[in-house]
Amino acid sequence: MLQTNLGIIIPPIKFEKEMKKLIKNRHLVPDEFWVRTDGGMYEVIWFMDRQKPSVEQSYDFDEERLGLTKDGQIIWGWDSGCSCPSPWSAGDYGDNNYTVKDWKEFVVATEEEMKKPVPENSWDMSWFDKGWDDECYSNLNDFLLLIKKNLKGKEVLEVKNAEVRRYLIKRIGYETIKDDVEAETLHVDGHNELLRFNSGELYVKVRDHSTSREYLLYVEGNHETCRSAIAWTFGLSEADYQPKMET
Amino acid sequence: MFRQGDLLFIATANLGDGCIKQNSKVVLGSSITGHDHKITKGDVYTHEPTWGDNANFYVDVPEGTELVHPEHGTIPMSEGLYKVIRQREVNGYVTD
Repeated sequence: MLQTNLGIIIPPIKFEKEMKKLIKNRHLVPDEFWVRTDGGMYEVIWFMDRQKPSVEQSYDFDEERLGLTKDGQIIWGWDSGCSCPSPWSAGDYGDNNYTVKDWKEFVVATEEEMKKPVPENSWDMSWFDKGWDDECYSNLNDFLLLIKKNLKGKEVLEVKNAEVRRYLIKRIGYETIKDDVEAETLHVDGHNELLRFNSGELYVKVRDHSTSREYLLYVEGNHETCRSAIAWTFGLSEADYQPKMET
Repeated sequence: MFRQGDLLFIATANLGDGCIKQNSKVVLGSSITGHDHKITKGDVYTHEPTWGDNANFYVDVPEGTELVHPEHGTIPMSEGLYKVIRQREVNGYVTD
């Protein structure tokens, strides 16, 4: 499991093991939910690989609750009145009660917390009803990403996984990130851009030739051109980096 | 020299020390995306990467081999041995 400044990223293996079991048994997929951890409230983003068989997706948020354990395990509960079966159905479920079998140290968002209005600057997460129409979801296998509310650009850039970072940058906005870290543009080459942040760090924004996805990569050295920075990411000098074909 | 996503292929004469031939034709897979860089023919070799030399893969391919990936364009490869360099950044490799 990856512990980040944003919260917890649950890797695909654990996610599949636990959440697929839940989906299989319940035929339910939440389209929007929050969890509370010791660090506060977190948005939960569920990435699903569109190439995998879809599951029936019906959902009643008012009756569903998701809890997340400190070590990344998940617990599911619901208010009374929900007739859905559950892999943990042996428990005693009453109003706002949650039962865990072999799940430890979990924290479930309370009814009160769940009813809090979503801030204007938070993100709309109701994509399940629309289908998987955003390209950014297709690039990720199933896993959960917990994103802190009011995420700052600097926090996004501290995410080590470039693919997750790319997704977050897209969600927040590239220009917002630049503003947050007071980025200075050193060089522009097509869609690529070499940036120096107020902290002195050098980043190069690159656009993938095939997917057009844009990544911000943290580079070392005193680069003056985007190409020099990109060459460094392959351990080469600008002069030695001469690919004849890129896809 | 050619590039497919976060992999750069450079023709080379010698296999790195300690390389082990793999049974799979997957050059590199991603634990996040589940998408593989894969050769259609030939062999993949790996060795432990060391800092300053992040080439931890080699491929030895016959004529007619293609480098394929679900999202990146297919690249036809000429016969030969290639060193494969993974794209990195300060924090590590770009993909994991």
